[in-house]
Amino acid sequence: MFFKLLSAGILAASLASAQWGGRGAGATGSGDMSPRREQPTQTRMDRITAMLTLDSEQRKQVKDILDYGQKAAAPVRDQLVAVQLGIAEAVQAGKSQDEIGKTTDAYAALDTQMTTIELRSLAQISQALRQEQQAKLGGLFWMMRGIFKNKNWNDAGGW
Amino acid sequence: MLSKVLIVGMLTAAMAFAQGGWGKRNEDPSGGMMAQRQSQLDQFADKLKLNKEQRAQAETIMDAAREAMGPAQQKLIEARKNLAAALIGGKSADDIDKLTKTYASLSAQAKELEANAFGKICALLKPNQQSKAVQNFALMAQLVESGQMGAPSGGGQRGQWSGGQGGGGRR
Repeated sequence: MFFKLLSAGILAASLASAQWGGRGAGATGSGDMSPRREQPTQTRMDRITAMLTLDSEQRKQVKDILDYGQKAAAPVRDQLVAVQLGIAEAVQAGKSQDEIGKTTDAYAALDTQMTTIELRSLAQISQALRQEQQAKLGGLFWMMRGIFKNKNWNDAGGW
Repeated sequence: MLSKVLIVGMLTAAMAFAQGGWGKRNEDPSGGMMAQRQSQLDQFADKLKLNKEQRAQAETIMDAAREAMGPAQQKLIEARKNLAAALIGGKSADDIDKLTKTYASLSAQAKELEANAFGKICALLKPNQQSKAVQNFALMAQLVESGQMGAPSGGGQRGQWSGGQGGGGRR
């Protein structure tokens, strides 16, 4: 009877451990019993590769295009942050509509530059695709918006 | 041919978005977008140390701005699609220039809406809360824009140029 109870206890503990730990105790090695969150492991490049069914050569081309876009976008990104603060400062300081308008226009010009960088990258990618892959370009169109807003477009944590 | 294929692809994506995609998630009371928006609102209220009344007023202002932002953002999406099609289709520099000017004008209109909302929120603040307002404009803009441009606000397509505040919305 004792052994039956012991076995049942061990089984229950094992099941609880498996449920809380997700991938088991070895997943992190930390030994904590809290529910574990799945970490994002798929990068944008992985998603784009899967979505467009890129071969290895195309994958490299697409990565090069996006890396180049990231570099081109860096100064624009920094200015966007600064100009956005400028809008807020102008509004809070009670500046005239004309003055606030100048800051929103400046922001819009930078936003347009960033959009152009994103879409030029999209256009370059489209040239690297075969005809049957082109049909899936619509999905990439949506993915391109804000793709360079962080320092690394391919950061898995960006999703 | 290429343009046609692109347009078909974009239409498919646009339809998916309109029918059940990112935009719809805003309306789903159990969805992540709603919860995320609420959490961002909490964050905004915390950062500015808004009291209950101020928070409710700020939420009303942002909701109104968000509603006003809808048509502006739809036009921006169209402008973006047109620009993408022109760049892919190898249109002339003049054509591209016209399209970027259209985009810039729409972008400025959208940003003005946010600036107006921000002005109203600033007016709610007590002197000791004012100092934190500017640095939280990006977060407010994110709340106003969330889900409007078709990008999932929890994801990498978020556009808000928030300088490290997590991003979201248009830019």
